Amino acid sequence: MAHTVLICDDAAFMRNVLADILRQAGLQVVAEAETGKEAVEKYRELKPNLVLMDIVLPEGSGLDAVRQIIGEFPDARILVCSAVGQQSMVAEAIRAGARDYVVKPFQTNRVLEAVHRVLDSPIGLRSHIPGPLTE
Amino acid sequence: MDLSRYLDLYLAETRERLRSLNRGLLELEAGGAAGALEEAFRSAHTIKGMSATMGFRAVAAVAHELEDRLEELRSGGRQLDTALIDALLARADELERAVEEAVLSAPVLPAEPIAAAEEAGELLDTKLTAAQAAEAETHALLGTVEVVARVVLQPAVALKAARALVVCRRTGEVARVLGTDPPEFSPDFGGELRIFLGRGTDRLAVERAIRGAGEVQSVVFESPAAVRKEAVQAELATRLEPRHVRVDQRRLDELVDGIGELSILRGRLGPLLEARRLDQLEELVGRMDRLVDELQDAALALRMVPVAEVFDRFPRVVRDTARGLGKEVDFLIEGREIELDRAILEELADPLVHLLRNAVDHGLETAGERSAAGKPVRGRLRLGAARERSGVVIEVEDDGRGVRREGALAQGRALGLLAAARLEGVGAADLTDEQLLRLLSQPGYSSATAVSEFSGRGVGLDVVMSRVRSLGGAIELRTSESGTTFALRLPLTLAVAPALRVKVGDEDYAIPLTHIAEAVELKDDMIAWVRGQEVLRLRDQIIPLVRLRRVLRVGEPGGESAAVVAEAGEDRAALAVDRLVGREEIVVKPFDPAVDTLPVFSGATLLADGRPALVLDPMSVL
Repeated sequence: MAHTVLICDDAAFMRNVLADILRQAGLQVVAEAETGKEAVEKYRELKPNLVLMDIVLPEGSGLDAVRQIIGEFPDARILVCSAVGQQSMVAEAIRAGARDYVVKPFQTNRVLEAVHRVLDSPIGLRSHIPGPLTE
Repeated sequence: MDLSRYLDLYLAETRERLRSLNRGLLELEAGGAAGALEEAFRSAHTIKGMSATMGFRAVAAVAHELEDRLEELRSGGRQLDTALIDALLARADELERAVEEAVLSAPVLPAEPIAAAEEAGELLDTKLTAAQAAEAETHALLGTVEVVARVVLQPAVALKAARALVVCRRTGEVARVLGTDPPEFSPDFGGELRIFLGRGTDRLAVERAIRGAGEVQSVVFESPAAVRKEAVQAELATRLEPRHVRVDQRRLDELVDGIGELSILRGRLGPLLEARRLDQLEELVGRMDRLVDELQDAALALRMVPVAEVFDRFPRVVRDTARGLGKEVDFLIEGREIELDRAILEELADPLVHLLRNAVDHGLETAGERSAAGKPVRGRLRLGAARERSGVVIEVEDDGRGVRREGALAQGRALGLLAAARLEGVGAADLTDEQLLRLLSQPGYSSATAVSEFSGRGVGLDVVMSRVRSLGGAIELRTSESGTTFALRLPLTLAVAPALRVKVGDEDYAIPLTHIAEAVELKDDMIAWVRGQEVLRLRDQIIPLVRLRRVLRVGEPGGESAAVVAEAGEDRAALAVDRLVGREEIVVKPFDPAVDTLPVFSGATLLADGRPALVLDPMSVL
């Protein structure tokens, strides 16, 4: 069965680009969200295998959404989408539980590599996260 | 205008203001003078002004809000209560974070904003907390780093620092990660990192996890021993990194004047040499000699900073710890103006935090216990610095219940630490403070003591002890039912230490004077045997005699001409040496001991005649 994906980005253009890339790779985009709040709601409802989460979003940042989703579903697999200048936000997101990141502008192979890394990654013991990742 | 070159100054000044802001707020809470409110208000105001000038709007906004609230207080529009103080302190913390964030994310090259934004990113806030660092250090001390994974990222990775975090995270899911090198990943992180892994590491699983993190070029496993050497060098490199230090103008002037004078004197050397005026040359050399001494003092003075730079952070630490434990504490700082080498002072911050927290948590009793014991309800905690002989002594003193000897011994027995502390068969009644300290600072003791939220975790007394000793200092403990004092004796500076140069076998060694009480000629009739131990009879004292030839394994003992009496608190030992060479100022360099090196050296140095020598740590012999 194809992996299910939720895409969260406030720009319809970006959502379309990502959806096309994912569909061509055989993944099933089950929902799209424009805001972090919406993403959290859709996640609760659909429990997709993967979330692509933009960092900068209206109504609470993508970071907040990551925190909330991981808070409720520690095993959620979230891939963060970011611009080059947002390294510290990306770091925050990883610390909050996002499993990987991909940098805009999107290149098809990079996105798919990251997607597969996240989907293939085992869910390990969060308690063993090293010092540099905790507050 | 390019403001980036003011960044360091801005940061230094705002930090200073933040300290006085915190100080003002704490004094305010303690019912301090009106001056406290003024100080806090002024600090917030100044930070606002500086931040606005730098274009740090977020910082200025926080400062502005804080200023408004303080203004309300000032005008009598609001009454002071604990909740308000808490809110103000929280705001001050927020301000501090905003400042750090603004500085770190400030464009490095404003001329090329886009490139700069990409380059700069922001410094990732991935520092190990002090407790975690200490924990890692403890593990390192205990030798539990089993293997080190060295990871190189692919060269073209975007956001290398973030990728490094993913790598660490994945690794942490399959193994116990004790720390990383670098400990934090800055925007200029080059793409190579080391991950220190604990016992029971499954290398295959770790490698799979690391490669699974993506964009990894190579993973190599190394033994901790191989890494240590490089780690020491890396640490040296960071220490030598250019840093901005604020210096008193007068001290700088002294140095510059002195060097000017020296170059004038040098100008006279040539003509005098040519004219073979030995008498005048002699006088000139004498003057140059004195001048060089003065210059050395002046140069060293540049490294000295008042302990207040670190001490002023502590009222907040003590307050928060006390609040969290529901205890009332009067915290007193003495000797804020005493100066110490910056490098020593910075190294002391963590150990002092540990001692202070420990004092509040385990030393001071609750208000109920105190009044039952007939003590004032508010606990008293004192942090004092004072000059002493050739160094500085820093004391952490509480008027709590003292360390319970029976309890400590029982704990030590339960943990199997009595043998290591050489305390087998010692009863609680006979246990000296010295022996008690030895027990408390056994590695492994701290980790098993009661863990509360505020202390007893991470950095243990063993770490405090080893840190202080690595700085060439010593710790003493005095404890009774009326209180506990930890006294840290430290050299003034790390740069130059007075030392005794001695000869043992074919080699010269340096022994820092910090721990030397005296040096005496060793005659056969001074040596005796007491209960199977060779001792030195010196005047009316009996001191254990340690023959360094035996310790250093450089020949058969016997016929040594001198003994150096080393002391630490009540512990003393006479070290027999072949011969005393003399007193020298030495520059101690940390060194990388080979695996089989005897654990009695604290560093290496170049002697006055240019020969290298090892620096003996007399404490290790004690």
